[in-house]
Amino acid sequence: MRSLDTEVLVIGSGAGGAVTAATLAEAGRTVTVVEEGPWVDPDAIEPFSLDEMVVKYRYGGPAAALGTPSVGYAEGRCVGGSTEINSGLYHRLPGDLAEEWRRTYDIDEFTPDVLDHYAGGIESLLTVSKVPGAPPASSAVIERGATKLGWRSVEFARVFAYDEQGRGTKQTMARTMIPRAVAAGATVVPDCRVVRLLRQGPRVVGARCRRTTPEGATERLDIRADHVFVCCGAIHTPALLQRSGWWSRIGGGLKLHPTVKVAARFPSPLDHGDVPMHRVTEFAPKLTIGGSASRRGQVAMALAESSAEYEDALAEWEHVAVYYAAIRSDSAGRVLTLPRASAPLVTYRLTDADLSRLARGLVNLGELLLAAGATELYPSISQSGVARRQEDLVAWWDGLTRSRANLMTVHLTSSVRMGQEGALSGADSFGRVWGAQHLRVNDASLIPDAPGVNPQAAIMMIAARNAEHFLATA
Amino acid sequence: MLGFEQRVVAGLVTTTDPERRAAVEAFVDGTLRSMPEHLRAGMAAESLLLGAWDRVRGRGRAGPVDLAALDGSRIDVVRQYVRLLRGLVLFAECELAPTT
Amino acid sequence: MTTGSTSAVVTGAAGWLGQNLVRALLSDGRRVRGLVRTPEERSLLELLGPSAEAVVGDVRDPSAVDALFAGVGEATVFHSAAVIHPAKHVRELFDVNVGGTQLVLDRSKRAGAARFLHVSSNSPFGANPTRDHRFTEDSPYHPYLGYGRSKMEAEQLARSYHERGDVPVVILRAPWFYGPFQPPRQTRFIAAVRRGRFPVVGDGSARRSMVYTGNLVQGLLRAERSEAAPGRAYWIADPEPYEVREVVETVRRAAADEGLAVSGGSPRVPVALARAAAALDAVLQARGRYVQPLHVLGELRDTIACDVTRAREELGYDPEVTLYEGMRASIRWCLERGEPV
Repeated sequence: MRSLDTEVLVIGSGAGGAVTAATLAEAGRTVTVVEEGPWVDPDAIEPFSLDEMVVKYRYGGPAAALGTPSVGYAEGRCVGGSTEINSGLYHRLPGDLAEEWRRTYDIDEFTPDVLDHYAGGIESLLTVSKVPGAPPASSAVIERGATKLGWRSVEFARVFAYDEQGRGTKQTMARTMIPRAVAAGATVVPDCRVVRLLRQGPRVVGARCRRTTPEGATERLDIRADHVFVCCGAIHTPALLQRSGWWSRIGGGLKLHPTVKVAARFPSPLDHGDVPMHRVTEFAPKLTIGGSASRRGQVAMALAESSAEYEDALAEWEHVAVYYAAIRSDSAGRVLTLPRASAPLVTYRLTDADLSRLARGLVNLGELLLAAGATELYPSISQSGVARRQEDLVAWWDGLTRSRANLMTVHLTSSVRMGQEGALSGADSFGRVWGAQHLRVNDASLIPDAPGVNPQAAIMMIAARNAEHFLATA
Repeated sequence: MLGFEQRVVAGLVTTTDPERRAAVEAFVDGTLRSMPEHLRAGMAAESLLLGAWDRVRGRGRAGPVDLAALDGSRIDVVRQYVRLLRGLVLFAECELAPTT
Repeated sequence: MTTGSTSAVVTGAAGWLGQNLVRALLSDGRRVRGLVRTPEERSLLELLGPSAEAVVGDVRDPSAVDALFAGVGEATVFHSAAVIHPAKHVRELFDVNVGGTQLVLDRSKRAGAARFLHVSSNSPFGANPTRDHRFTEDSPYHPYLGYGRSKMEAEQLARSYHERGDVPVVILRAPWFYGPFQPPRQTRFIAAVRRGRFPVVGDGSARRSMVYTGNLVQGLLRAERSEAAPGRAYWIADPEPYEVREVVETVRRAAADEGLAVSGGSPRVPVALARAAAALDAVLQARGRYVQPLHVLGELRDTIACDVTRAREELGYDPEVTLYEGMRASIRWCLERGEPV
């Protein structure tokens, strides 16, 4: 059994943890970051490949929030967290949402000037940019279809840096904030899972970990810390807090962006390198339409979801790309740690209004893709068959039922929530867990509700703000 | 993988190349092993039940599984079971394919 | 076939409101194109005259709504297609009331419609807190169950299309209708009242706003023309709400004056029973199931009453038909059609 002393322990090295570690280390604090997953060289593995899934995803693949229907999801489990496996799309938290949350959750210092300040700070450290030159064909599909239908669409920026040849590299935490933290003196310990937090009454004093050594042995590691930041994501932050004895308003209120997909076949080949960066914003914030990773493997899976005959389309897979419609849902889910199991139980309940919204999104997506020139549409509804004309879309309303819908989510948030309205949140305006001392949360679980856009910008902005608050007060 | 799972995966794999088949099966096996415990337990229970049902129907412990019947099952969890395995097999086959 | 351009597009054209509205538009000399659900409904609508045209389709269907708007330019869109009592599942409420509304709004925008009149309901506002309270246009949302939430979301959608500058929108909120072209449930209501079988909750002093179809059509047509209207919502109802017992007495008097036999008294139902029905309705709807009699019984104890001052002042709305006259007209309509009233 080893032990280690540090001033600030950051658990998790994703968007929240990495920003926390970099901010605190650069301010001169002694920071130790533990990360359950391995360190993976960012250049070593192709994005969205099988290798990436096996090495960087928790469980080596997808998990599911159980319900009728279940909603599939994936989490990154490696240094850099989910930023290592996401599309890199970057969108600031919409101001009207932030204001709504400020009022409902009574969040201090959550006004536009504060949020813009921290967002600007993040953006100066990462490279946030649109695609130089013409967007890829798979993304142009969205813009083309939207223009034809008179729908608003926009190109989202991404955390991508471009070299002189115009080649882009995603600026993940492993490439940016983690090296900054290390350069400022932080220690990062990968392959180290926190079993539970160590506490004396309400005060956190450290963490009990199980670490896998480079030789493959497991050792117990106890870390003593003055302050602990839990940044394990919307699923594992509440799971860890629950394992450590904090349950009040922790784990419930989980929010997803339930998503349906359509694999669309076009007359001409498309690209398959980048996730499309265009989005249809006509129906925002309740409904967003965009594109997904479309390597051959993802195309094959998407084609198969409709139960239609797809071998023909798969043979011509370069002509096929996968698109999605995602909703902001009315209801919420729950994370529940299970005894003697490492994986928590995750459940999510979709309301009838949610399912209707998903059906509406699916039909809109179908209209968009046909307007953009698609000849065949394979929706993620079991036994739906192929749609080829607009007349075929109306059947999708009745086809998207609880038992036939194949749903997933890319984003997970809100399982702890922040704000002074104690009845609604598990942590205060700056992430300090109610009923605990020296314990903060600083990740997606703080975001009060589903943001309707990719959350990494909001996560990083809030993490920076909360880290600065810690520096000013602790 | 449990017996029934191996039979379903064998039925889903389309490649005849024995090395690729083995790689796909290894990938599916690895993924099943790493699944959240409660989800793995649920799948295992399903595999045992479906295997037993198969034997009751007189189809024996080996041989191909009637995938069409499972796909079209009225029982939601049965369809989800096949869907998961199919997804994993498809993804692996495509990713492990020689460069297209 | 019609020549010249369509000046009015009506969804729900074969519905209770739709039938009244289409006839009023045609008698004003307008060219009307309506969305109906069956070929029979199309035939009946097109029989009304050469200026009436119908498209058969589902309001959720992009192709049907495309056909509805084909060649239509600056027409007024009267959107009354909705589900109030779903056949089985709560989900239908959202698919039609929200999904259908979004599709019609989208195509209205694309066609450059001059104005979109959205027919809404009291249901997004729940029940009045007291007998004397009246809903105004500033009353907050407090949706009652699935229908209320679906109509609330539809209003919010319609409002957003206006605020974005996509199409000028007016929201008309109508309470319980009465009048010609009534559906079987309304005929059953009148028949039950006439035979003394309609349950009155408590002492029947709860107040309900109602609107005669002719008054509602007037409200819609005034809203179409009023310069003040775009971007605003209006309650359209008979001048004052009625006590439930007053409704029952008036219907019985109207039935008698139309020559029908009137019998029985009015059975009283304890408030507790209506409350239990409402609770059970809520539980079932949370599971996606809709049981109409339960829902209706649950709502009977409430006061649902609105104030039409804004419609009078800004639209020049001036409802002329009284409850007694309107109920007589409804009963006459039933008798002419052989409806079992």
